[in-house]
Amino acid sequence: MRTYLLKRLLYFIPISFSVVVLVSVMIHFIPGDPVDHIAGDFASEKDKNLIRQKLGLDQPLSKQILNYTLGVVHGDLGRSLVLHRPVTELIGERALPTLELAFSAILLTCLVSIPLGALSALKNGTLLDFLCMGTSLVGISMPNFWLGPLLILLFSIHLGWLPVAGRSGPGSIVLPTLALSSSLVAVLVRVTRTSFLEHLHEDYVRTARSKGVNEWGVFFKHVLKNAAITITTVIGLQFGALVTGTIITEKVFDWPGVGTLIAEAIDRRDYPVVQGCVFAFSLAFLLTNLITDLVYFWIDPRIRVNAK
Amino acid sequence: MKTKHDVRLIVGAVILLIIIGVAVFAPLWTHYPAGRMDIRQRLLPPSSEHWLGTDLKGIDIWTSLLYGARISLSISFVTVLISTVIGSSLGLLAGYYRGWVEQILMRWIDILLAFPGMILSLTLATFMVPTYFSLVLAISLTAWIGPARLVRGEILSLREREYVVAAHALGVSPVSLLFKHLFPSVLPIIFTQMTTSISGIILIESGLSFLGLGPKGKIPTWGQLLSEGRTVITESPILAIAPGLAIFLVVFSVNLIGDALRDDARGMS
Repeated sequence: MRTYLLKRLLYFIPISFSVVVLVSVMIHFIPGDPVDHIAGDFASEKDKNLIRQKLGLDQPLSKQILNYTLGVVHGDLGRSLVLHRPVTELIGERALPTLELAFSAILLTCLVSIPLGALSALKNGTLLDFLCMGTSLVGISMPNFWLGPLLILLFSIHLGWLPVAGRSGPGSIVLPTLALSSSLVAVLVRVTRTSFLEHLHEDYVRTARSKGVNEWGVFFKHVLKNAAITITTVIGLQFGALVTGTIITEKVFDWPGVGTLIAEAIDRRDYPVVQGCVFAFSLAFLLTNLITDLVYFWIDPRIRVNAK
Repeated sequence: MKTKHDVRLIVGAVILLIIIGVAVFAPLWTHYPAGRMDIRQRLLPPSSEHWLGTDLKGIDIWTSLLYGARISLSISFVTVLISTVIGSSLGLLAGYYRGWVEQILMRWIDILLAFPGMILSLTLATFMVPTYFSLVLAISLTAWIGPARLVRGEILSLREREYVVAAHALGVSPVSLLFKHLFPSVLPIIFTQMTTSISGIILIESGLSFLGLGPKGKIPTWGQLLSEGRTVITESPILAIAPGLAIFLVVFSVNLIGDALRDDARGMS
């Protein structure tokens, strides 16, 4: 157990460090002098030097990387060029709404797709299965920046049940959650179905049945437990899609989270904020991956035994 | 089972071919020149004059969709082509030569995969002046990873096969082994991967456009139209509905084809 955890942590550290380095040099992706781009065409040389100093661009690249890394360690991601406030503070203010949205989307995804996928597998080849698979194909193909406006048209403008945008009252999270989770649900239904189908025909299932375990027991105690590994992996991987989905969904619904923060920063070319958000999203992603690995450990006794 | 697959393949291919045909021969289906503005005719509802109405600048939406398809589709296809060629070559080399080539490639992939989803493409696109090629470059930056990993894995298992070992023992040069023996064997998988990755790349391309990172030309891309439509959704819902439907249809048809191909490949193995 300890070696397994240690291995995972040892992997986590260099990867996070690489992420920090890559984020810190991102500003140099801007072709030409980044300062010209930030300051605009009419800035004086003096203003440009000021910006250069502020961003630490007057120092050698190695020093810039070092400074950024030290900053990250101390919880400092620089200051916004437009709002003149620390980036960590800006992200801190917006983190809660994003987490709210992400968690409700994950929750809805699990609640809807695991039962549907299981049902689809049990009724394999029937009309129900066909409908489930058809709907999931539509869900996968549906961009959330289209589904979002469609939901607004139907539920907010046409029926007037839910607010068009913003985050006020419990009703306001419904549409963003639906828009964000649709493609996740679609993917997870398919994965759950395939994973169940694989396990339903295994020897241990036949043994369990012949021992007289009833269908529900077979399903919940045996098949679900084995399928859970694949399902967890996919949920962990889906977190990447969730992050980018958040950026777009928050923009569609004017949801005041980190997603809109980065979208606004992109519009204003506020590079320190973009860098900070990218770092925050990546760190959250790496942490989720770490947690997924720990969940395996808990779900699958084989991993636990092998790790010893 | 076989016939069911063929239905998906045919339906998907027909929808996709129609859309491509419409995009290529865009001037045939509209009598408005691309991007012609008429400020007096802003946000008109659909009519016989303007099939899908007009947008904020008074440009005919149907015309914009037709010409925008050229941009959106070609960015996606070019990106898929570039990333597949680069990714497969790297995967081929890494899988065959192993050693430090493979080590460097895999560690680099590990680092890139630490950035969730399309966020790296998004950042790169933000940090460049938005043009057609900046978008291609930004998406290719991460899109090559899929084919690279797939091909490497495939080569790793192939290089242990008897025919490869035999060719090696007979003194076949590495270059001819790579290109005459290994490459043809992985070609079908590369094609399937290409088809399945197109839908994801179209979604990324239109997503980036939606976020304001698309090429700033006279003709808007589908994502840009949709983003504009989102702001006037109460007055003119068609401006959001039409481009979204177009994106959906392309992605849906590609997914149908991809599903059919993948099931077919699974059935063969």
